[in-house]
Amino acid sequence: MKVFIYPPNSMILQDLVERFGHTPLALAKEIERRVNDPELDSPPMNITDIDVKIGLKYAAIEVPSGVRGRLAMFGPLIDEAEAAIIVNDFPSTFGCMACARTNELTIYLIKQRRVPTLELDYPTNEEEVEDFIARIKNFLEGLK
Amino acid sequence: MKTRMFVIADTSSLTPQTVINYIVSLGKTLNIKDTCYGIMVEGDDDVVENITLKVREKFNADIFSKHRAYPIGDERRCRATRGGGARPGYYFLQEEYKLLPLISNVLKKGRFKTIDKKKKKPVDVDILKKAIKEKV
Repeated sequence: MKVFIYPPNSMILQDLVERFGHTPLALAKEIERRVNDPELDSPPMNITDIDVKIGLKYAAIEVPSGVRGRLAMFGPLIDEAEAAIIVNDFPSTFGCMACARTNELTIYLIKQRRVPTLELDYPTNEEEVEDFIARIKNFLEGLK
Repeated sequence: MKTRMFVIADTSSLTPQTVINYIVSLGKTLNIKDTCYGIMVEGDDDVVENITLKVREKFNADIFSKHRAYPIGDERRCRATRGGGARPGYYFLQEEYKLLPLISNVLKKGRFKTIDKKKKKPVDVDILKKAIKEKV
């Protein structure tokens, strides 16, 4: 099954989803498509004005273009998702997830999809890591 | 074409060279780069996926992997052409790297135990009212 992971660039989540036999829907998939696109206007930028328009499918016109641009990348992954794992309270430097409004909208969109979702807190010690992995394992095994 | 990052857990005695030697011994056509955190592998989609399965099978919880969007040595990301400094994705890697020894340890022991977390209840209104009356 295709499992959307949040934060979508997390290596730990991506690795665990693969380890337990599912396909992670991670950000790299969307970015790869963009950075390897020969039509890209400005190579250092991942997001073009087309993406901002695509973002309109996921957020209203009043929403800042940066949020819409980010959602243009997360949105297609969420549309594809058959399940989701959400990690809350992660450190602010945990990936390029520093846009709070995008994060809120992403979680909202996942919940709107009504797919099986597992919500966890970011672990900080060994006991919490055990719990973190056990919950992910049980959730992913239950999806089969 | 697909690129994958392999990150070695801090507590492991595994070296990037050992992983490279193992991958080379599999005899596949791949582009491999040795890095400070592990290695990067680039090649055809199915070959890279196959290699990932084999590396995970061989080194189990000592190594973690993720799909990387940019190709190896891409000018938009490579520090050699950007004039030094951290690659933008390193902030994430640095944060997750701290957690890898714990995750690796739990996966090796196979000890998966859930703990019942009690949700913090909000303070009762009566207690609050009493405290306000006493102190104000």
